[in-house]
Parts: sequence; structure tokens; C-alpha cells
Amino acid sequence: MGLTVSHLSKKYGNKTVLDDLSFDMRGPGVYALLGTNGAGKTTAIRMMLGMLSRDSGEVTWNGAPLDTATCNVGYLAEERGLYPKYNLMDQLVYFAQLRGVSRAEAKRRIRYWSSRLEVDEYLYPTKPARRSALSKSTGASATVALPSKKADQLSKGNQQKIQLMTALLPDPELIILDEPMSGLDPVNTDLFKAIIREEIAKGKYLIMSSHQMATVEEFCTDLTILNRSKTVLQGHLNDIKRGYGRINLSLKVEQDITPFIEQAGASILTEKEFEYQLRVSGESQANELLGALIAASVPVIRFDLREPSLHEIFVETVGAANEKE
Amino acid sequence: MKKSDLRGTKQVFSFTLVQYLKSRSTITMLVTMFLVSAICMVSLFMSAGSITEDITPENGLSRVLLTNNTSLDIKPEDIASSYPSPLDVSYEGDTFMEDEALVTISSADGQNFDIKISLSSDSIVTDYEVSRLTSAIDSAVTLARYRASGITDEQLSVALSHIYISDGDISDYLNTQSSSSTDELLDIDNGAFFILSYAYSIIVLILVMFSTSFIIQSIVEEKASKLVELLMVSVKPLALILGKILATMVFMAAALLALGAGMGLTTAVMSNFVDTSSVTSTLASSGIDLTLSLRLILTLPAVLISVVLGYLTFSLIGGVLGACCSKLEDIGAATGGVTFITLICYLLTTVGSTAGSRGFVIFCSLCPFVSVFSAPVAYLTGIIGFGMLCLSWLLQAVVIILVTMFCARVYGTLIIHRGNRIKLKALFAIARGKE
Repeated sequence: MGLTVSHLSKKYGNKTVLDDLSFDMRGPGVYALLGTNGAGKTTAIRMMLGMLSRDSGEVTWNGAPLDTATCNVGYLAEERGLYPKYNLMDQLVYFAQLRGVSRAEAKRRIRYWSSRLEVDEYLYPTKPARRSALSKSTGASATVALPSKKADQLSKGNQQKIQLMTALLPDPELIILDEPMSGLDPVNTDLFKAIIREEIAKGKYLIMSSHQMATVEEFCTDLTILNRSKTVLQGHLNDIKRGYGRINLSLKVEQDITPFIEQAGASILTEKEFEYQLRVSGESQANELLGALIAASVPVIRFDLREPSLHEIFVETVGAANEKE
Repeated sequence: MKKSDLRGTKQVFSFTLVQYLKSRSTITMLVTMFLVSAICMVSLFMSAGSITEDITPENGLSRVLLTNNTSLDIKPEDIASSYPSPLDVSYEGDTFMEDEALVTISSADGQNFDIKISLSSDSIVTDYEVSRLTSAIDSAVTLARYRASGITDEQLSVALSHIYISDGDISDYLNTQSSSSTDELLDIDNGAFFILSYAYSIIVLILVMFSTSFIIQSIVEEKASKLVELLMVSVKPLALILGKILATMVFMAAALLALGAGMGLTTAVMSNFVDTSSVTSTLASSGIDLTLSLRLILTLPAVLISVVLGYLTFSLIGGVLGACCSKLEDIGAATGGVTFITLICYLLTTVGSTAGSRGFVIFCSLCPFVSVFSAPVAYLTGIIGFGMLCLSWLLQAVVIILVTMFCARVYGTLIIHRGNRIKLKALFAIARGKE
């Protein structure tokens, strides 16, 4: 069961914007939808959510067509916005009510998320009360609640927090995050990551589209890479990485070892002050190089053999696909 | 179009309406409408009050001294009854004051008559009162001439009773047969139609132009704020536009109520200070009398149905034109499109009422888009019957359904469109599913 996307295709005139996309999510976790700009990620998401008509294909949730009636979806769109001149609290209650959350429950959830996302000061602003004779004598300070701020009074990062809140308010089963961390500072990026981890721990299904491969790699278990509307790589991240093998070697020594590297047949990707990033064919080649260095009594400070990162897989896959075309 | 397409309309309606009522600019608009209507009524009553003041007996014509040098029996009471204000008319009198007039009626040959009105050198009697007096004396002399020919008062009453002439088609005839209780209410002349048509169509014009501009602005702002995608997860495009249209309709109704409240309140207050009867008599002289006012109240639901149908038609068009735009700079172009259509319809109605052509008025009453301006007044003044009005509603409803179906086809695509304003050709291509 879970989410199943089958043969989604879309054309605008003669231009294919999405070509036969299929994938499924059988259990909770994070599914990454990756691709270059214009590859068709956002189109795919819009088609999944029924915002765009499909030329072919279907999307089901637990066997039934995906719809807000069949699945509680939370969506953080790539193009983010809020009503600039409306009170934030009104907007959040409105978005929650559109998803069937009662006003009272919406207010309760807004209280929780405003605290979790550290935006209380904008949703529940206060000002010091005029000091009464009693407070003067007792020294006690009181505050008066003010209406919540308007969106255009918030920084971009704080607006993004409010937008994430709108996606999470209906307590969705399926959360779709399109470029969730773009434009966030490191502190807020960590806050968003923590919230995503919490949602994963709650057993939610997440689809994440991003250009920030390192961030996606932290969370995703399965992925699809799109290039020019076509699926160029798909599968379980660990399986994909395993398929590439351990081919990235990071080596730090105290002298020039270029002859050893050439002799072993490895290629140098980067080199800076005797710190090498090498591409090897596999573990045996790396071990052969290490053996040669030890035999020559070259002191090895660091030897780190690992699988390629998602970023490297992405660049290689997309590059190869473009070359083929 | 499915039922689920309308899910969320209620929430969009409530939110939009609440935001209208919270917005300073819209509140200012409501207050301004209230104040402007109140000020208009004050100025109307002040000017009417000044006319009344001019003709009060204290400083206007209060007495006429009559000298009859003819053989006719000219009765002073005939002159007094034909004069619109209380007037003392007598043959005798030894004074000649500043508020009196001396009228001498003479005839050299017994067939042609001379009427001479003399005023004192310090007279305060205005030309307007002299003209009304001349008309009253003319009527009294005419009556005296009839009597001199041997015609009795009863025969005169029968001979001079007013003749009302009206025309109508067979549907009107059948309608009046089925509702004979309203027969007498249908007797309203063209002057009333012209005035009502003019006043009503201006109200509708303002209503449509204001509301479509509100709707277009709201849609374009939503698109420009990049909110649409977020909203469309929860609500279908059709529900989004319908919610806005209904909220704007309620807000505009509130604005009209503010207008009415301003006028009503001012009338109530002013009637304690100035004589409002001249306003009533001015309207009555144009055919807008108590009977018509009563009919207006009775037909108010019919008028409201026409207005709501017309409003929906124009609003849906406004919604589509608004959704064609992505930038705030394009609002003017979208509003201009609706304004153009609205003005054409308004002008057609105005031409119809000015020309007084019955056929053209019926055409305007049946033609969708134009009928909102024309049909209610044509029905109110008896030019079309209830059957014709129902046909007009039916045609409007058909157009609304067609526009709604068109909306359902294109609105989803339009609402997430970004870039240049979509032209009409592209719009129809979207409707055909080719873009």
C-alpha cells in the first residue's frame, strides 16, 4: 500500500515535461525527487496533487486515487507565499480550516508549532502594559496581547517557518516538501532538519525535492533522479551506492605521492598540500596503493575509502545522460 | 464539474469576507458611502426646503383679488383648487399687499379672453408662482366656458376625466388576466421608466464595477503572492473563485445597505426640520408615486434575483480575466476588460430608456448581460410581464452555467499560470484542452 505513482506523463504541445514517471513508497520514510532545474520535479508534484491535469498515469494512496479526501497531505510549495497584508493568525487558521481542522484545534496546533518553530513573538506579540499603581508598588510587570503580525513584517526565513507550519497544521500523513531548506540560514536549516526527523519518527511519508544533495542524503532512503523530464536513476539509496562501490579515496600524507598514484592506476580528482581526493576502481586498487605507500615508508595521516556521495552520483548520472543525448 | 469541486467554498467565503471587513480601506469605503449618501440627502432636502420656503404664505402668494369683466361665471374656488398651494381667491378686497395679486379677466368679443395679473411694486411673489397662477386661472376660465355652454358639473367630470393609454403584447395580456389584482399597478408612464432605469442602472453599474474590481484584485494578489499552489492542495479552483465572488457580493450588499442607511437616517432626521413634501411631489410628477413605491417593495425579490444573476455573470467573467494575469501591473488591463463590457451593457440600456422604444427595451430585458440593467425596471414599470422576466432569468442562468463550465475548464490552468497576461485566443485554446 502507501503511495504509488504510475506512468505519469505530461506534454505541453510538442514539449514533454514529464515522461513516464513511476515510483512507489511502501512504508514511511523520505523519498527524494531529484533533478536539474526544469527536469520536471515540480510538475510531477503538481500532477500528483491534482493541480495539473495528467496526459497519462495515476497516483494512488493506499489503493485509492490520491486526493485530499483520501489522504491528508501537507505541501510546502517551491513558490512560497503568504498574504502580505493579512494577520498571520487569520491566515494560519484559514489554511487549517480549509483542511478540515476546527478553529479551536487549529489554534491549539498553531500554539504548539509557533513554539516549536520559534515564531511566538510574531504570532503572539505583546507589549508592556501601562503601569498601574499596584504594579508600581509591587514591581510586577504585566503585558498586553497584540494582534499577530502581518506577513510582510517578517524576514524571509521566518516567513518560511510559517509556511512550513501551514504544511504541518493538518497533521498530514503524506508531506511533500519542495526545496524546503532553500534560503534558510544554518540555524534554521538545523531546526527544519530536526522537525523533518520528528515527522519521520512519527511514521509519516515524506517526499522531498531539493538541489541540496547533502541534506537529502541525510534523510532519504529511496530516490528518483529526473533529467529533462526522464527518469535517469531510481532505487534505494544504499543499493545505488553499493552499485557504485567504494571508489572515493581521501588520502593525506606529508610528501608528494603522485608517482605511487600513477603506478596504482588511480586518478587524482583534487590535490591540495599533500591532501588527495582520488577516484579508484575499487577496494583492491585502494589497498594496493596503501600497500605501496607503507612499503616505501611514506607516513599516511588519513586513509578514507568510501562510496560516492549523492551529489557525486547525481552529477555523474545527469552528466552521463546528457552525454548520451 | 463535480460536487467536490466546490469543497472549501464556505471557508474561502468566510475568510475573504472577514478580511474585507478588517481592511481599513474597505471600512473607509463603507463609511464614505454612508456619509456621502447622508450629505446628498441633506443637500436634496435643503434645496427642496428652500423651494418650499419660497412659496409659503408668509413670503409668497397668499391671496388673489379677482376682477371679472366677462359674462362668464368664473368661480374663485376653481382657481384655488387648481393652484398647488393653499390660496385665498375672492372678488372683493380693499387691501393690496405685497403677497397678493390682482387678476383682471376681460373679453372684448365674448370669445377671446385677456388675463392680466398685477402685483404691487414691492411684491415678493416670484415668477414661478405667477406662472402657476396663470395655469390655475386658465383652467378656471375653461371650466366657466364649458358651464356657459350648458354643461353640468357632473357631465364635466365625466368629460374631463383622465384617459390612460398603454400598449402591451399578448403575454402581458395573459399575465394581467392571471393576476388581475396588479392590473392598476401596471399603469405607469414612460417618465417613470426613464428615471427608474437611469437611477437603477447607475446603481448596478457601480455595483458591478466595484465588485469585479475587488474580485480581480483579490485573485491577482493571491497569484502574485505565490499562494495559489498552497491553496490548491486544499481547495479546488472553482471553490476558490466562488468563495471570493460570494464574499464580495455580501460585502457589496453591505455597502448598498450603508448607502441606504445613510439616506434613510438623513430622511428621518431632516423630515423633522424641513418640509419634504416637495421632493415627494417632484417624484410624483415624474410618475414615481406611492403606487410605484409600493410596487417596488412588492417586486423587490424579483429585482434582487435579477441583480444577483447579473452580478454572478459579471463576477465570473471578472474572475477569469483576473486569473489570466500574474502581476499586479496587469490588474488595470483585466479591470478594463470588465469595465468595457459593463459600460456597453449600461449604454444599451440607457439608449433604450431614452429612445422609449418598447421593442428595444424588451430586447435589452431578454439579452443576457444587458438584462441585469434593464429587466427589473421594465418589469417594475409594467413594460414586461412576469413571464418575460422569468425568461430573462432563465437566459441569464444559462449564461451563468456556461460561464461556470468555462471557468471550471480554464481556471485550474489559469490560476497556476505565471508570466504574461493570457490573451483571449489562448484562453479558448486552454478551454479546448490544447494548451
